[in-house]
Amino acid sequence: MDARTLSLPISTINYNQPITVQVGAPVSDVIATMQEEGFGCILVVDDSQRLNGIVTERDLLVHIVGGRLVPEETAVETVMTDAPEALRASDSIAFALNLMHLGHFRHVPLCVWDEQGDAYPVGLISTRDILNHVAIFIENKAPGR
Amino acid sequence: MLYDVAIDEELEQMEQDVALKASNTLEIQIPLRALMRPVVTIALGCSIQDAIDIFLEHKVGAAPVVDAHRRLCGIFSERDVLREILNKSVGNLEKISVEQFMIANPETAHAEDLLDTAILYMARGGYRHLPIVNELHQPVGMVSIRDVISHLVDSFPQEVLTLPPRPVRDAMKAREGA
Repeated sequence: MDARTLSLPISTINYNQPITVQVGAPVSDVIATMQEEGFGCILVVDDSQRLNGIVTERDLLVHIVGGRLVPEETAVETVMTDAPEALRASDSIAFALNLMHLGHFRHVPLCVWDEQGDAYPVGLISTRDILNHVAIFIENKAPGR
Repeated sequence: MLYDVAIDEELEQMEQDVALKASNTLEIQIPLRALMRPVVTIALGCSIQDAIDIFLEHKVGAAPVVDAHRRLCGIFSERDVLREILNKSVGNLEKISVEQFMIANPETAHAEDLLDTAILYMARGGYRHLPIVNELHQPVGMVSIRDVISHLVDSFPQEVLTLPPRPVRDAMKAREGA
């Protein structure tokens, strides 16, 4: 595999549009949306679409099943991770890989920032997206390399 | 001033080119034996609640389900919990067997198979975990996407490990000296 593939910008990967819920939504809505969309991660935004947090399958497992919370009676803020690390789509895949490795993240939000430093999600990259990217290079590997 | 900026940009580009040439192609092929983690198994007949407790206790996202002879029967993951159990009235999780919601007869690999094989299995099948079995079809380890990502990071030190946890976007602009 060519190391240069990791220097490409994240935008060259087929990443997903973000699935979002509003702050204050009950966790049951989060679960329903994740089930409908087939996603293992959802971003939490305020009413101006600014990124507030992230909720993953693991958060649901730990807080809802492990913590015996009732999804209908629990607000998403209770289970989300606040102010998650985010990247730009123009950042390199290596940045995403490094962030995922160091932070043990399975997903990293892709955002644009305004002049006040507020982040607005425009995408979501997962370890699976990177794996699929690597798989394409393995499948297309030239004979003898 | 404009000239300084142009020179800076040129130098920056040259530095990047050197780094790219130095990295070039790199062999990342290793047997899965070197990558797999010790496996935590769930016994067939175990309840969903017990299985979830195992996930939480061992901090794993999936575990192979094994019969009395420790042979692999299925795999149960936190994804199955989200898809099939949360928000759904499936009943008392302590009374339902994991067999009901596990994925039966999952794809497997052997310890001597190579990393490429695991990556292609995971990409084509949409799996996040690949159980590694012996000749008796008993699980001896597990390889997850996370293990693959960690290996990629370890394999590309100049590309990845030297990077700061987040891009220092303005560091170049603020660079002092020529």
